[in-house]
Amino acid sequence: MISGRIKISLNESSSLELARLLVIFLIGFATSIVIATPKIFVPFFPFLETINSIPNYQTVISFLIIVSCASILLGWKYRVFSLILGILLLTVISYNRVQFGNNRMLLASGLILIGLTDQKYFLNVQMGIMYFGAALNKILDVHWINGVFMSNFVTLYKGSLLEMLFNEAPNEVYVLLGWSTIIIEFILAIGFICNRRLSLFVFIGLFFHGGMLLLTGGKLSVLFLYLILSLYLFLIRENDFEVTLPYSKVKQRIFRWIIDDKHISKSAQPAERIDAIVVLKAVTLYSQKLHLLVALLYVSYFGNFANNILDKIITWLS
Amino acid sequence: MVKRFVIIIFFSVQCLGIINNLFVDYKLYCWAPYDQICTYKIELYLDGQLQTDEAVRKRYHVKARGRENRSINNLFLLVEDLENRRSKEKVKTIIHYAVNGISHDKWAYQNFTQ
Repeated sequence: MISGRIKISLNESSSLELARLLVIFLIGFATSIVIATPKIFVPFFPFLETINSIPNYQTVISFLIIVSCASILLGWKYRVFSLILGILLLTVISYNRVQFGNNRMLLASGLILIGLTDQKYFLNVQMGIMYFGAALNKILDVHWINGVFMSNFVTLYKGSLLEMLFNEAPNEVYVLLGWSTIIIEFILAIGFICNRRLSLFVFIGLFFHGGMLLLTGGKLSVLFLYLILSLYLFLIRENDFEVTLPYSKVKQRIFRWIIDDKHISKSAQPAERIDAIVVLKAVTLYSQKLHLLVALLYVSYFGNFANNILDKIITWLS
Repeated sequence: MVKRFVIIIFFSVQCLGIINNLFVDYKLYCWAPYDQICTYKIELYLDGQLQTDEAVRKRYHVKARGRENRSINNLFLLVEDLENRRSKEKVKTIIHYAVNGISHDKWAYQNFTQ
């Protein structure tokens, strides 16, 4: 047995994976954009008026969106089509006001950045700007500072943990809840932009978004959590790793079937000795992706189901 | 280099959106989620006739009774812009709303003089 080292770079595949997750979101949860409904034209910006003069513009845009989605799912020229799809989505959001929403804005921004760069840092900045905007909006709103927002907010989700824990609490508690949200969002903004100890900030983000979902009984921002999870996964993924392996033709075939040659760095190509460790690592990596995808879909599709279970537990407890 | 420049412009536009939001009533392109919970009810009169909730939904593509999670001004802007583009009949729209459970008020649009 001769051992050797091999370096695997997953940069390309993880960008493609993120693009695919975003497309799945688009098809599954923002279908109305794909099929161009409702067919209304109320642009935010006057320069978009020119689009209205193009014959059958909605059908054309819808067709281009479908082609872009298909190309990304097939992995064909996915960066080009991510950019095209992102720009198309921003355009639709901007001329069809009913489609406007932060989910869709983040979706479009993510796709545009995948199309423009393979550097993860820019997606960090995107997340940072998003959290900064959210925190700044809140800190300038007097209702967030004096507890009025939170005292109303806790009553919105009937039967939820949020209502059980905080309904009719002293105003100081609402003030504290408001400030906690603002501070966490500022921390996330700084953390993502500074790009240090990313896994810690991803953990804080998961705690923050997951906590909201739990407190509201699965009703608040379930779709946003899907997007955030997709982006977090991409940001913390290790792109390169090295492994040492002995020789086995069967395992080598399995390995080559799992990981495309293009992800193996050329300098490491002579180390064509593959062993169980790398096969295991590759399989684990891919199954992790699969599990995560399934988990994401589960969270998104069955949020209401989980909410019903939670409702029953709360009823039983009370 | 060009791509990097485009990315910087892309982020700058987003930052401008956030800053612009500080000077206007509506909240658009500024990453504002769940900043104001406004409950509302839309009353729509076409040629003096009160319309059903379903007619309101068909006309404005939002529920006749619902919640706006960013700013109630976004809804006012939508109604105003939609009506300014399409109205042929006499339209009067009244939106009854409450911001964060308090500040009950109403806003009205009409495209004719009485």
